[in-house]
Formats: sequence, C-alpha cells, structure tokens
Amino acid sequence: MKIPVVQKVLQANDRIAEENRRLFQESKLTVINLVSGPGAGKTTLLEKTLKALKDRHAFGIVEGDIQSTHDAEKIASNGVPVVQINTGGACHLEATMIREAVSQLDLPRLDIVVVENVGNLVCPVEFDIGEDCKVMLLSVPEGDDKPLKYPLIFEESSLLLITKIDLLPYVNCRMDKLREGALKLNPYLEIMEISCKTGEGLDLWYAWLSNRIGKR
Amino acid sequence: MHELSIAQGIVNILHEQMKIHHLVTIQRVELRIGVLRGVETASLNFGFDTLIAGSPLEGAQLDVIEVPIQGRCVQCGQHITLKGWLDDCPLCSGSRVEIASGKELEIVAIEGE
Repeated sequence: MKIPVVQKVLQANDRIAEENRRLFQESKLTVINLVSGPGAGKTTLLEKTLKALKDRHAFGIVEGDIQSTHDAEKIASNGVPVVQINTGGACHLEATMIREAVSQLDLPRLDIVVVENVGNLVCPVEFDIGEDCKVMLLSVPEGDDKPLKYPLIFEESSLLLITKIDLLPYVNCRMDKLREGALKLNPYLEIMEISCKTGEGLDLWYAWLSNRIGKR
Repeated sequence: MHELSIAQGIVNILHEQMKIHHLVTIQRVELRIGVLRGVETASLNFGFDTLIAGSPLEGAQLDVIEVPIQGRCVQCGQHITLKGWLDDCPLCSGSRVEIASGKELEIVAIEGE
C-alpha cells in the first residue's frame, strides 16, 4: 500500500524554531546565528563586538561547542551573560538546544542574542534555530573556492564577513572570485571585508549590527 | 554528519505514520532531496539502516528523488534549471540565480502493509 505523505524531514526542529522565533519577537529581541567553519574567527569577532557595543546594547550570548567551555569563558570575561551549550559530539545546534539555552537568559532585559554555532560549514545550516538571520564568517586562508563547495551556507546567510583580510598578501585567495562565488546562489548577500587584527572594516560591521537591533 | 540527524527525522516521521495508518512494516520511503542540501545518499542510508536495525522498520528502503536547482537567472530573467550549483545559466551564461527550488528535504510517500 502506497501512502502519499508530504512531510518535511526536519519538521520537528522547524516547529520548535518557529516557537523560538515567536518568543524572540514578543521579547523584541534580535537574534543572530553566527556560522562558519572552525577557526574563521567567530569568538574573536564576538569579543571585539562586545567591547565596542556592549555599552550601547544589552547582549546575551549563546556559545555552541562540541566540548569545552573555553570560548564561553573568554566571552564571559567581558561581563556579558553567556550560556554554554556543549553538544557532546553533535556538529550543529538545534532549536531545542536554543530554547533551553535562552530560558537561562533574562530575555526582556536584552536587545540582542548572538548564537555562536558549532564551527562547521554544512550541518548548522540545516537546522533553523529561530534566528532573524545568519551571519557567516569566512577567513581568507580558507580559500576562495568555499562557495562552490558549500553553497547552502552562502545561500542561507544574510551577511558574509570575509575575515582575516590582513593575511591576504600571504595566501592564495582571490577576492573577486570569492565574491562572485558567494553571490552566485545568493545575489542579495551583503559582503564585508574585515580584520579583527587591524580593525579594518569593523566599524561597518558594528553599524550593520546596531541597525539590525534598532529595527526590533 | 547531518545525515544522521536527517535519518532520525525520517525514522520519527515513519513511526508516526505507522500509527496513523496502522502499518506493521514499511518497505519503501520516497524522499525528495534538493541538490543544495548536500545530502550524501550513502551516509543517509548508513545512518537510516543503523537507526532502524532491530526495530519494526528494519528492511525499509530509502528512495531518493534528487531535485535540481531551479530559479530565475538574474541576468536574463528567465526561469532556469541547473543540474549542479556550479553551472551557469544555460540560456545566457549568467552566473547568478535567485533560487526557487533545490533545497527540498521531504518525505513524499511511504509504502507499507
């Protein structure tokens, strides 16, 4: 007997993500899902961002890692509330983990929650967590071919931050090729080039983020 | 390894469907998966077989229908189909596409008794 069933495979996650989204909207909260491969500079960017903006906006941070509290401790030293999620092996965060994590934050007092996802260019994209948008980081040493290898993360992100551009003279990464690849499947992707080491481009990113918070 | 989470999602839905339709076994599951999902069929099958071993679902086969990328070419404005995401517009060689499909990940039918 053949039974037609049209059901999204990840519907259980999607449903909880929608509940999260409603909760965030009710709390007038901006939620950013920070995604990248390992070592692209998510934690460093977050530290810089908190130093620059924490007096202007009330931040909450959710740190996703497979193991260790290393990143969470670094972030907590900035005096911002942090919740650590250890996935214990899972390569991405899911909506239920976020629901549990944000229940430990005082949401009505916050303007923005930044979720630092597990470093991985594939799996985190599959799982909606209820965020407003995904911000993707790609560091120039990773190479300009990444959009061709991992298209979905570029397609799903609203902003691409090309990080570590101070290393451009030392690596084979062509910015025009990287931009073209990134825009191939996401013609409306915003792209910024930054360096946390030299500070180049960071003001643009801070302005982008502040503007997002203002919209809630 | 997002395939394992996807396989788990499929297993959960199949258990629900077995209850709803009073099925004892499931032989075949038809899935539509968009090329952009980057799902490795071999890994998906491996994860699925591992999860269903020793359960009433054991022996069920996944039948994957691959959905190509479809969308509007930004350059010529035509609706186009791309076999792979590396391809350019077959009509004007434009390289940018507004995606309309190719991200599907759904069960469309099951066969069971």
